[in-house]
Formats: sequence, structure tokens, C-alpha cells
Amino acid sequence: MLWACLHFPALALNLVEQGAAAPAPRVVEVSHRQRRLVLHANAAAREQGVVPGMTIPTAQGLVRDLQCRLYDPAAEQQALTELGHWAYEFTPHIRCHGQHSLLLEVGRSLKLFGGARPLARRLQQQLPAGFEPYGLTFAPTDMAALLLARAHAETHAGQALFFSLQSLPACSVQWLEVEDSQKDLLCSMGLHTLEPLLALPRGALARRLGQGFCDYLAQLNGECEPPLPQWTLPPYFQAELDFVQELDNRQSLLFPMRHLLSRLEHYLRARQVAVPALEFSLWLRDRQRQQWPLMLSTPLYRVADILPLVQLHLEQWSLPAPVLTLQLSARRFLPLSAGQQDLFQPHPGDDISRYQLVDRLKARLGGQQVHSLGMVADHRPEYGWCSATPGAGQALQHPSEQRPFWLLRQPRKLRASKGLPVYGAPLQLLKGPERIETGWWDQQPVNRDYYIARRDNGQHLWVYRDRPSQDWFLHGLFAR
Amino acid sequence: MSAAKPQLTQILQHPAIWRAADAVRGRQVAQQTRAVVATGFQTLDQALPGGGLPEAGLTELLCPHWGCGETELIASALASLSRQSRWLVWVNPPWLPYAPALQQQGIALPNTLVVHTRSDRDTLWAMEQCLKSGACSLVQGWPGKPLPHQIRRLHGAARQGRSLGLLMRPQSHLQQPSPAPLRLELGPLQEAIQVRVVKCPGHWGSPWLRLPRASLNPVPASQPPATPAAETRPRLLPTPVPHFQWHPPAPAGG
Repeated sequence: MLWACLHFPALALNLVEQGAAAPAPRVVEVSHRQRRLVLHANAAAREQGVVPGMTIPTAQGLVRDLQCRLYDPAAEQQALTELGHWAYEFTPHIRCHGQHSLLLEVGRSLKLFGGARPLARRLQQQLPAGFEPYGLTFAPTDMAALLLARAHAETHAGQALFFSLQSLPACSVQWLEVEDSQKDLLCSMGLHTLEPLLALPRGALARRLGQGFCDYLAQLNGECEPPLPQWTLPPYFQAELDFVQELDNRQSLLFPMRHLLSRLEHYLRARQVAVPALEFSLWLRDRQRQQWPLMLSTPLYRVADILPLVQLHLEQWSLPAPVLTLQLSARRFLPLSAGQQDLFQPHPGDDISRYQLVDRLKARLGGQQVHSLGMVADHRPEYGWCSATPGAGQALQHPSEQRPFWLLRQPRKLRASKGLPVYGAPLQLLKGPERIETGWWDQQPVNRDYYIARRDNGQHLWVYRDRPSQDWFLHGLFAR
Repeated sequence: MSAAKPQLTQILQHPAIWRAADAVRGRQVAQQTRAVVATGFQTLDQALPGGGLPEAGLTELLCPHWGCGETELIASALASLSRQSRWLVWVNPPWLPYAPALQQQGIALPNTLVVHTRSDRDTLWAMEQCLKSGACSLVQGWPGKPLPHQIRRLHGAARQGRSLGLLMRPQSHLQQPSPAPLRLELGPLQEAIQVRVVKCPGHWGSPWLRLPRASLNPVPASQPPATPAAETRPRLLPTPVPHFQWHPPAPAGG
């Protein structure tokens, strides 16, 4: 077994920084014995002398425009879970440990990724942006990986480190995953590193420090193996971002939207599905919730495909009040299908680009303005067609009589002279009548005699005489 | 010298080079490697460079009024292009393409796309998007008054997306300069479609051509007796006309 530990010591600060647009000195504060203390400080704040453990008034004395954010353990846990979803790409055996660490059993994935070092490189490359600093260590047991990651988090941030169990004895007892009182006890016994501790008889240790401590040591040393964890992805996707400063400009939403979409892409990739619809929800300053649904003509899974559409829609959506929180959710998924291409077609139609075009047109012109043509099984000409969803135009058995290429949306009334319709000049009736009548089932009855007429210039028209009123109407133009 | 000669012939092969001498001699310009789609009218195909409408590029159709035969002219191209799994797009058409008729003419309905726009700007934008995307085989658009630089953009987009762009313009725009490489002018509809090539790459334009029209199904009308159509031929298969016939352009606005 080979365990990798991803350790994020400043996860709470990472979350604050992610929602922020511009760099500024920021700290995460925590209340401890009714004092406000700095838990994490970002680089800009540390440059000006703020250090973790300092009180907030002191820090505010040092830095003029210090932005303070209350520590939110739930959000931190949530972020760690989402990192777990991200890591699902590498292995299904994942466990969150505490608030800051992710343990991955990667021994079974080595073959796929070509060894531990290529795997480590992939992990480092694909880790979502904005989670620095982090520690990455590999060790034969999960607890050893965790202990070594914590021990080297400060000195070797951002590097992949590989350890065997032989490197454990040199570590200090302060990194053990036990209570502080037990660490104090170990130090008072003169045990400062793990070497003498591991040499002690376990029975005696159990009597002094409890059976739990000994179980932990056995797990650390690889003497007993814990059951492998199984990670499951949630059935639907939901991610949100809180903003430090409220956003009042639609265009400034684009950056956080891209961030959320890239998280969605990871989720979709891990599940090997594509998404046909998604929804942005915004919590506004006045506690209102604004929802921006986005329907896609074809299921997509890449940010690069979805983002241009979001950009176009962003111009249409209205923003009544500044935004505090942005949330992205997707509930319906379809399996990814590999495109099939025709060998004999000169232009293999790329389905994605085909429907992306439709989405792009719809985004600017409106959903109703772009459609395919389909046929409906109805003998009345104006009901014989329908505007279909692009790509879903249905072809039926066509009527045996000829139909005009162009149909007028509204039949145009024609003057009549000597019983013949007049359109510029009297028309010559070439063919007909073709009687089309009734429609009693939907209260739109027709009772018409259709003729193909010819103008003096040779153009063929489709005209009809309404039988009850004996009026002539122009309904279509032939293109032949 | 001897080394320069092959270079010169190579240069002359370039599709962008046109030599007046070729046209004077009536020689068809060397068949360039450009894909075309035939219109089905032999007379017109002969007059067009490459033997048809270019599959990647913009073509301008100047009509005295809509419905003067422009749809007949491209009907066969529509049917053959609709077999590609790409869109056939109508942007802002004056009337609605009627699905049963399209089906009768062999146009695949799932590949049709009708785009309605509210402004001229949107029409041009939609045309450019469609042409550029590479997902459309043919884009026919009726913009109001496109400017030369807008037409140039449309042509660039059509080349990029390998689409046949059809720009429908009124005949009154004939005198306006246009960067479209192929311009066809239609005359008022008579017994035949009148069309002339105003401008085309690699050749002079053509004189007025009369293209025989496909007749409707020769089924006699019951009332009143119909005068038989000029020719009785199979539908949509025009008879070849042996020579170009010169006809004076009829006055516009018929």
C-alpha cells in the first residue's frame, strides 16, 4: 500500500482568498477565551508584521485596511470534501482526516499513472489553483504519510516527498495525532522523538497512555492496517463561493463563475457524465435569491465550451442588487457519448460545435428565435409544420400534392375579379382545386379550395378560396 | 533563367492569380482545387468558375424582388448540402420555409435551422457566427444594407467555416461595390429564370442567361383549363441550353 497525504495548513485562508478579486492584506480570525485572535494571515498581511496568534486589534494597528474574516469550520470541511471529489480522479480510496488533510491510497493507481513520481506530478499539476501552501507526502501507511506531511508542511511546501517507514523514528513527537496532554506526558517522560517511543513495550505504553494510543502507533508503524476507505461522489453537483466584498458588476462575476465551472468540470470528468442544464444561484444583499438557469442544447462537460455561453448570457441577465454568494448547481446528468464520424462525409459534423452554435445564437437572440423545421401530421397547411428543437425536426410522409417552398405566416387576402384572384394582375389557375377542410377537434376549422396559380411573370403561387366567404387568399410561393 | 521558369508556372497556378488572356481565349481557368456545389442548371454551372457555387465563400444574389427564381436557383444545392450533417440556415427569411415542401425536395429537415432576428445588426452577427462556426453547410441571409467591410467579414467567416454563404440583396444594390467574390444578378421572372454573373473570380462575368424552369407536376386542372407550361420535363432537371443567349435585362422592379 502507498498512501499519499495532501495537507492544507491554511485552508480557511485559501477559501477567503478565492472569493476575493484584488490582493489585499487579509486575516482569518478566531475567538479564543473572548479574545479575537489571528488564525491565518495572508502574505500581504505577514509582510506588514501580522503573525498568527496576534490579537485582532494589534493586527489592525499594524495594517490599516485589514480585512478580517471569521473562521468557518463548516466551510473548511466542505472545501476539504470537494478536494476529495477532485482527488477521485486518481483513486477511489480517499479519506478526509481532520480539517486539513486528505489521505489517498494510491498503491492501486500506480500502474495507470506510470509510477509514484508521475502520479505525484499529475497531482501537483491538476490541484485546483488557490490551495497553496500545501504539503504532499507519500508513505507506506496513512498515519505515517499524515505525520510526515505535517512535519514537513512548512519547510517543503508544494513539493512531493517520498518516505519509507525508516524515516519515522527521527520525527518529533509534536506531530503525533494525539491529544496535547499526551504529548506533554511524552515530553515529561523524556521522549522527544519517535525512536525511543517506538522501542518501548506496547503493554506498558497502553497502561499509561491508553489502548487508543497504542492502536494509533500500530497503525503508524504499519503493524495493523485500517480498512480501506471508499469515497462516493454526491449524486448531484453543488458548489458555492462567498465574496469578501460584494460584487455589483455582472462582468466581475465571470471570474468566480469560471472557478465554479472548473470545479464542475472535475466532477463531471470523475463521473464520466455531461450536463444538459445548470443553474447559477445568487444571494443578493437584500437576502433575495436570484436564479439564472442555463439550458444547453447538447450535454457539455468542458469549461471551455460552457464559458462562452455563460459570457453571452451574462449580458442578458439582470442583477438587481450586489451579490454576496454565488452558487452553481447541476442535478441532471447524461452519460458521455463518444462521437461517431462518417467515413464518407467530407465534413464530419462535430455535434458539439453544431449545438454550441445553436446555444450561442439562442443566448443572444432569444430561445424562440432559433428553431428547426419539422412536420406535424395535420392536413391543414398552417398546422402541418412546427418549429422544432434544433436537430429534432421530424419528417413525416409528405402530402402527395405539391406544397410551396415558402409559406406566408398569415394568409394574405387577395382581390377578386370575375371569379379569379388578382395579385398585381388576374392570376391564372393552373391546378386544383385541392379541398382541405375541417378541424372540428380544436375549434380551428378550415374549409378551403387550394389552387396553384400562375402570375403573368411565371411565378407560381399557392392560393385558396375560403368556401364560406368565397374570398381569395395567397398562402404560399412556389420555388419552381 | 531556366531556374526561374518553373517558378513562374508555379506562381501562375495560384488560385488568386487571374490572367485576362485566359478569359479572352475562352479557356476555362485551370480547375482549381476548390469545392463547388452544382446548381443543377447546366448553363449557369458552365458560366460559374469551377462549375458551381463555391462551397466555402460568400455569394451575392441580387434580386429585383424576392421570389424571382432565386430559390429555384439554389434548390438543388440545398438538397445536396442538406445531406451533410451540418446546418442549413436561413437568417431572417422574408417568408417561412415550409417543412412539407422541403421534405418533398429532398432536404433533410433535422438539419434545417431558421433564425429570426430583430435588427440588421443581429442578422449580420448571426450570419457571421453561423458561417464561422464550421457547423453550417449553407447560410442564406437577408440583411438590410450590408456595408462593404461587413460583407468582407462575412466572406472571411465563410472561408474559415467552409460554408456557402448566400447574401440576398435587392437589385438596387448592384452599383454598390461589394467584396463578395461571386455576384449573381437575377432579372424579373419570365418563362425562364434570368440570371447573369456580374463578377466571379478568374473570369469575366457572363451575359444574361435564361434558365428553363422546372414545371409543376403536369396534372390537368379541373377548373378553369390550364395552359400547359412551356416545357414538359422531369422536375428539377433543366434541359441544357446549347449556347448562351443574349437577352436585354428587363427593367427592374417587375
